[in-house]
Amino acid sequence: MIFHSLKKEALIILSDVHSIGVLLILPVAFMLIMTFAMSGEQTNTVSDIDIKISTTEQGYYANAYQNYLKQQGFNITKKDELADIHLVLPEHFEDEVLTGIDAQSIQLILSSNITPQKRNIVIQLVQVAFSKLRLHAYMLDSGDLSEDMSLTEQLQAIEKSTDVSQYFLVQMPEQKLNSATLNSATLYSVPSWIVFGIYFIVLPISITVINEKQNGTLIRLKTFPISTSQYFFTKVSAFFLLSSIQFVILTVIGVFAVPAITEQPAIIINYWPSYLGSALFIVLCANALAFLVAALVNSYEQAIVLGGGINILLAAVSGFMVPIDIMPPIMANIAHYSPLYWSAEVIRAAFINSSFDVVLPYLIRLLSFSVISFIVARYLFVMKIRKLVWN
Amino acid sequence: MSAILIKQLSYKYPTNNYHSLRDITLNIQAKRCTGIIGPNGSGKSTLISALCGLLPSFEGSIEYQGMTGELLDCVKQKVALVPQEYAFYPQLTVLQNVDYFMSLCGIDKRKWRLLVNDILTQCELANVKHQKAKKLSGGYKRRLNIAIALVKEPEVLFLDEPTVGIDPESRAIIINLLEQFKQQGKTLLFTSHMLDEVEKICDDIIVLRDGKAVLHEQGGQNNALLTVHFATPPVNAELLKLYKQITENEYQIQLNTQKEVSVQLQFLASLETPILKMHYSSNSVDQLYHLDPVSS
Repeated sequence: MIFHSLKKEALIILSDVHSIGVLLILPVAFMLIMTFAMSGEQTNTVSDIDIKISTTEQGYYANAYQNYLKQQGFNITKKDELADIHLVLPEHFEDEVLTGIDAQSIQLILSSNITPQKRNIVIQLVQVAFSKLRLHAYMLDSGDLSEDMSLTEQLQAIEKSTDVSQYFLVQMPEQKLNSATLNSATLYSVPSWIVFGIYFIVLPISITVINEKQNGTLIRLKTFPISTSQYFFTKVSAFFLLSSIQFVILTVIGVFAVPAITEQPAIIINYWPSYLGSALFIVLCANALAFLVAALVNSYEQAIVLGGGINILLAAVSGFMVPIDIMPPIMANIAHYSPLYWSAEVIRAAFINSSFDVVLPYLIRLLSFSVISFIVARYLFVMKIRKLVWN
Repeated sequence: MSAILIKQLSYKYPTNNYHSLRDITLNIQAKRCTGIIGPNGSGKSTLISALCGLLPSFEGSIEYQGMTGELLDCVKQKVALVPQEYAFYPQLTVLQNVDYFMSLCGIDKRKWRLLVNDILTQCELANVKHQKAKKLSGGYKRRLNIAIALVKEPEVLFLDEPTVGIDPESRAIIINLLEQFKQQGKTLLFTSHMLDEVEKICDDIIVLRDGKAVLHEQGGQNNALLTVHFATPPVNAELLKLYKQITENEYQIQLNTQKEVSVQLQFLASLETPILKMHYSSNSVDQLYHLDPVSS
C-alpha cells in the first residue's frame, strides 16, 4: 500500500511543474542568488560608494585623509552629482588636525543612496580613516615618521602600525552555533535555502488533499477498507520519502554545485551518515508542519496564503533573508522559536563539523515539534474526513 | 431477498435544520437494480450518503442483510460507491489509478493482476490503460469511475448519475455494463435524471420528493393503470369511491398486484353499466415521476 501511495504522490508531484518549481527550482535559485549577493557584501561593502571632500584649503592633511578613505574602500570623486557622501572639512583643518578640531565641525552628509544597513559601517570607516590621519599627524610631529618619506611611504607606515589583527588569536566557541561565526556566503545561504525548499512541501501536500476532497476521491476513500488513520499515515510516509529524496537532491546541488558556480569555498561534510540522520529530523518536522497546514485549509487560496505565507514568514524571522546578526535583539530572539531556524542550524553544524552535543538540542526541538504537529494534524484530519458528506 | 432494510430514516442538516430525509422505510431487494428518482433537492444524494455510512448521524436504522457490525464497516466490506464526480487521480494513468485503489483493499498479489485485467476488460478500458486519466474522453472517465468501484468486488454498488454528460455510444456501453452487473448478481442502486434509462435498467423504482419516499414501485408487481370507458355514466357507489373520474364516462384505477387486477375485472363484470372499452397499461417511469403523491 505504501509503495503504491508513494508512486501515486510522486507521479502527481512530477506531473505538476509548479510543484517541481517550488520544491527544487525555487530553493536552488535562492541558494545561488543569495550566495552571490552575500559574497559580494563580504568582500567590500563600500566599494560602490563615492565620497567628495570639500575643503577651503587643499593642504597636505586633506590629501592624506583622501588617501586613507581610499584605503578603507571608498571611491573619491570631485563631482557633486556623483557623490554619495559629502565630507566638509572645517576652516584651518590643516592647522588643527593635531592640536584639536572643534566638536562636530566635520560635516558628514550621507545621501539617500546609502541604505540604512550600510550607514553605520560607512560612518565607522570614515572615522577610522580620520583616526589614522590624526595618528599620522602625531607621528610626524613627534618625529616617529620622517618628513623625508613620500606620502605613499608615510601612508604605508601608518597602515602597518595600525594593523592590529596580527596580535589576535581568534577562537570561536563551538557551542555557540551562531551564523556570525560562518565566514562563507555558501555556509550561510546553502543551509537556509535547503530548509526553505524542504518546508515548501506544504504546498503539494495541501493541494493534493484539497483535490482529493473536491473531486470526491476522499469520500470514495472513506468507503474503502482503510481507516482514516491508515490513510493519514500512508500519506505521511509517502511524502516523508519524497521529502527525503528532495533533501538529498538539494544537498548535492548546495554542497557541490553552488560553491563551484559562485566561486565560493567548497563545503565539506566530514561524516555523511550523521548529516543524513539529522536530515531525517528536518524532513519529519517539515512534513509535520505541512500536514498541520493541510488539515487546516479548505481551498487552494487558503493553501497558498497559509502554507506559502507561513513558510516565507518563518524563513524571514529565521534570518534566511536578512541575517540574524543585523536584526534587532527582539527579532533575533524570535528565530529561536522557529523550526526553520532549528533545521538550518542542524545543517550548518554538519557543514562546520560541530559535535553532536551542539546539534542535540535542535534535534530534540524538531522531534518535539513534529510529534505535537502530527498529533494535532491527525486529529484535524479525522474530524475533517468525518464531516465529509456526499452532496 | 432483501439486501438493505431501511426503517424510519430521517436526517436533518445540522447547519440549517433542513429535513433532507423524512421517515423513509424501504426494503431494497438483493441482486436487483433499484432506481432512485426525484427532482433536485429531493434527497437522493443524502439517501445514498446515509446508505454509505457517510452521514455523521441520523434517525432510524439501516441494515445490510448478511453483514454485521457498524454501518460504515459493512460499507467498507462489500459496498462500492461511484460518485457523480470523477473521483480518481487525473495525473495518473488508468492502470495506475486502478492499481492504487486496489492497493487499499489488501488484495492478494496473485489475484491482483487477474482482477485488474478483468475489470479493465469488462469496462472496456484495456485499450487506454496506459493513458493519463485527464486525457480521456468523458465516456472513458465515467467507465474508469466505475472500474475503480469494482476493485472492491462489491456486492452492492451505488451509482450517482453514472451516464451524465456523455455521448449516446458511451451511455450504451455503461448501460450494458450495468446489465452485466445485474447478471453477476450485484445489487445496484442508481440515481439518474434520465428516466428512459431508469426504465430500461431498473427493476425497482423509488421516487423521492421533499425527502420522502412517495413511491416504491417494485418490479414483479403489476403497477398498472386500468382505464374503463362506460357507455353511460356509472352509478355504482363502490366504483365511484374506488375509481378516479377522468371524463363523464371514463374512470381510472391504479392496480398494484395481479390479484387486484383479477378482483377488479370480476367487479367490473358484475356491474350493470355496459362497458365500451377498457385500457390496461403498465406505469412508465415518467408517469411515476410525475404521479401526484396524494392520488397515488
